Amino acid sequence: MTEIDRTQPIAELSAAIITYNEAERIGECLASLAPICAEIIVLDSNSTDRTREICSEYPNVRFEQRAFEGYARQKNLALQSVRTPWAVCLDADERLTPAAADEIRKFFTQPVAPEIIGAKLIRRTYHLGAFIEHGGWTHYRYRLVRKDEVEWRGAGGMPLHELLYPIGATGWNRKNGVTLGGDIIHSSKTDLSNQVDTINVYSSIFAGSRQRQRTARASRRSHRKPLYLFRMLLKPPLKFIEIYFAKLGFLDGYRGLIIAASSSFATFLRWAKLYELANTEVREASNLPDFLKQRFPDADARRESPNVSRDAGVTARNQNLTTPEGRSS
Amino acid sequence: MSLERPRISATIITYNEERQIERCIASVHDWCDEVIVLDSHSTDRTRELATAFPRVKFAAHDFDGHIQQKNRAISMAAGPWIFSLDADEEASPELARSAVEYVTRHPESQGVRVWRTTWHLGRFIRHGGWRHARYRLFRKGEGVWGGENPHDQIFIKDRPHWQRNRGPTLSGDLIHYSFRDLSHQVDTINKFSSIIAFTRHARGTRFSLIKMFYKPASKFTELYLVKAGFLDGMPGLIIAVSSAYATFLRWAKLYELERTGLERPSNVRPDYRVEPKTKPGQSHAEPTNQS
Repeated sequence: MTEIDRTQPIAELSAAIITYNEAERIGECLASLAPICAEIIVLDSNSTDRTREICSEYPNVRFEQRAFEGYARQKNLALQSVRTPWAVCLDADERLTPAAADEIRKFFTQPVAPEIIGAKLIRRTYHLGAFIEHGGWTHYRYRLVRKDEVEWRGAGGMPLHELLYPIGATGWNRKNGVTLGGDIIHSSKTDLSNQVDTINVYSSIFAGSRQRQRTARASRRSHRKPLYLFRMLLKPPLKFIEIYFAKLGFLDGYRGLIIAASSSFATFLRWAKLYELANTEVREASNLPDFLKQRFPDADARRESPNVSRDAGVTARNQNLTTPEGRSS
Repeated sequence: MSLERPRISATIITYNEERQIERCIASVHDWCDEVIVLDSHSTDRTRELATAFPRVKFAAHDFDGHIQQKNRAISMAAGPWIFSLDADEEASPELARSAVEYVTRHPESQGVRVWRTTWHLGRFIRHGGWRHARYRLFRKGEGVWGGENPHDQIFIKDRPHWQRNRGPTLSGDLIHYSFRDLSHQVDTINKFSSIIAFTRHARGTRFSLIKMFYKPASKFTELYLVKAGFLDGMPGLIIAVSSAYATFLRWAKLYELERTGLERPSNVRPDYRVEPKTKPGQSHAEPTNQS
């Protein structure tokens, strides 16, 4: 085994990170990257905390600011401002283990074959007091990439759960990617309450973007009502079975159980919110991130005068005035 | 109206309610003789919007708990009748009519109950325990806010505890716009389950795997089947499932506090202290991080 030289950063490697108010977390991330990267690009969306000051403690950080327009877009812009051929892409709440840093150094000791455009590492998440090993929470992610050959894309066309994909290719395979040892540690220092918040925001994003697709389709095809009830009842138990049994979540003990139940509720919420957007006066979720908001000018006005009389509360006891079906014409 | 009508004061407490305050005041302005709006130093347009109504008497006081503030608003009212409502509520025209009729015909009554119905997910939710009658219209001095948020209510003087929710009701509804949308409800579930888990942990409740699953299942059965939530259609189902998950979260967060070394959930304010348990009906300090 050859001795690894840890004194110099890797000349052809930079890091690309996007931030927004990450003062609590960014330090560990930068500390794990600073020794191996020639440069660290931090693309910040106008944080109001000490993110900038913490970044300025590291001499090889290039700090840039830009208004946020979406995760994939922001991450792609950060990647594009990298000036070296290779980039390692981390989130502000992730860090490389020393073993992963050594593996990356080893990877660059010999010239990399030109067809190789990315390397994947195991990403582990610390949640509820331990690393979650199963249920799909520990997985490989391509994060060490040739800068000009890849891009961030949201999974399934959604503006969330974005991954790095090779440009012009269908996906990763043995020809264009390699596997490295060592881990990326995702330790968001968050608790179950944060997870529920995330579930709440992501299900709003999902429902909003599905609803847009739906209305776009409706203009072309005849208007069909989707089977919300069917999906709402079927998908959550399937999700639970997938995470807890198929992906061995039960091996994580109580944690696996809590995660599987919460994911199952997250699936339920997606369809429940889609139902809400399609059938009630709500035009978009109140917790939608700013960059996705369409700002319906009449949203509040509609709310304040529902399409039914104020006295429907009295009369609806006998006449079924307030069924969603009756109002959605 | 031929009979001499006793005067009615509406009382409302506010904090940053610019989205809803106009709807609320407008619903009582025409049939109440004065509208007391007691604000706790809002930073939005609440004051401006409220004082535009001629019968509004606007006052500001530091917030020291929902119950304290609501009782303070009552003490500022002239009476003799008080109609106490929240900024996210609205009296229906039918309720206005029956309230005026009631105070005219029953000048000696201590108070009367009002049906409170929530508008959520595009309809009035009338089952699953969401629609209930509470004392809201009463003579000054005969009723006082007490209990514990979110189960605070008006207690009528000299009435035994088991009778606290008995008595005649008015026709018409007090419409409650509790949530902006489902996301807002989930957000509330997240906050309340944290406070409840934190409180129970501090008072010594232990985590139980069986309860973590049995309690949500029985909550769903209660709301959806026993209390006939299924009659509310799809919204009834969504509410029953969400409530079951809320119950699950209380236990999951208790697990988190007990076994993972978390000191307090991230959405519980650092200055929140757990008070010793008090009996219902006693007025005491509120958890200040609920709104």
